[in-house]
Amino acid sequence: MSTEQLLENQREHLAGLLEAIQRCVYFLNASTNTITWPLSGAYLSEHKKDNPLFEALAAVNERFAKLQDTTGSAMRHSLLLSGEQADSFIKVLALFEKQGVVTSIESWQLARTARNLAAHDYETDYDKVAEHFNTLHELVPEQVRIAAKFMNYCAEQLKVDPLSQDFAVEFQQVANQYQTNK
Amino acid sequence: MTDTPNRAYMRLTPAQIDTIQSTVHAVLGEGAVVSLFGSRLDDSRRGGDVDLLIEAQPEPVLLDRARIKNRLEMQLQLPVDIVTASPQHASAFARMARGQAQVLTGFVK
Repeated sequence: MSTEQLLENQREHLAGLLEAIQRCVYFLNASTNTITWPLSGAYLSEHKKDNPLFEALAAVNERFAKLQDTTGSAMRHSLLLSGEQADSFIKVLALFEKQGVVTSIESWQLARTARNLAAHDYETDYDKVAEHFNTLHELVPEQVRIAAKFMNYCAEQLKVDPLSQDFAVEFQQVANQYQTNK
Repeated sequence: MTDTPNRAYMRLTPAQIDTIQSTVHAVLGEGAVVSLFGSRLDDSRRGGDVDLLIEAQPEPVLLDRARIKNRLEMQLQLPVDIVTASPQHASAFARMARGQAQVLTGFVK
């Protein structure tokens, strides 16, 4: 495979990841919009057998994780095109902190740990369940802002856009919403 | 909860205990009480997570638990699991942990 072909494949893979990020934001936003925030333990206890509610909450967990993981993969992959070197994900984060895409390494890791703790706690204490989901919901705007900044970085620095425009309009609407509500 | 720490049965160094206490207190304040439970109390075992019971008023929120876990794992280079409780509320698991836990005290400068 020629260098040009390799480069083109790398660009196409990144474009696919960018589209996946937009899709994650679209569906995460769709799930969060079905829920009335903030949640309370009393409300969850009253609705403990409300399957649509708990399906929506499970989707928020999964889609939040998918957004962060896909953004992380895309950031790591984009380094192949920018020529930067990073032998660990901390270094990837440090590079994107310098670019102003990630607010701070600590805030990225905090979101990741919080989401993992929330996902792995099998609580029947509804106050705690409510607190976990309220925390995830509070972390969503920052993840969307990171996604939007990364999208801009790829367009401006690497000249790579999402593979299709299927989710572009909705993604921008959600990004604008969190930008203005910052 | 045990009142007196017993370092002889704790697979943590004084420096590690200092790190744990200072990190927890920086996030939650000096009133937080940190205890060790789990495999690191067993001298016959090797390695393992650092299992901490953190009791504070009010009970630490999820983001503070995540903050403490990240900072400790970075500093100790060990996996850290945290269980929280408050004087008013302790889950059954926290009460089980409390039953065997040893308070980490006496090393913070």
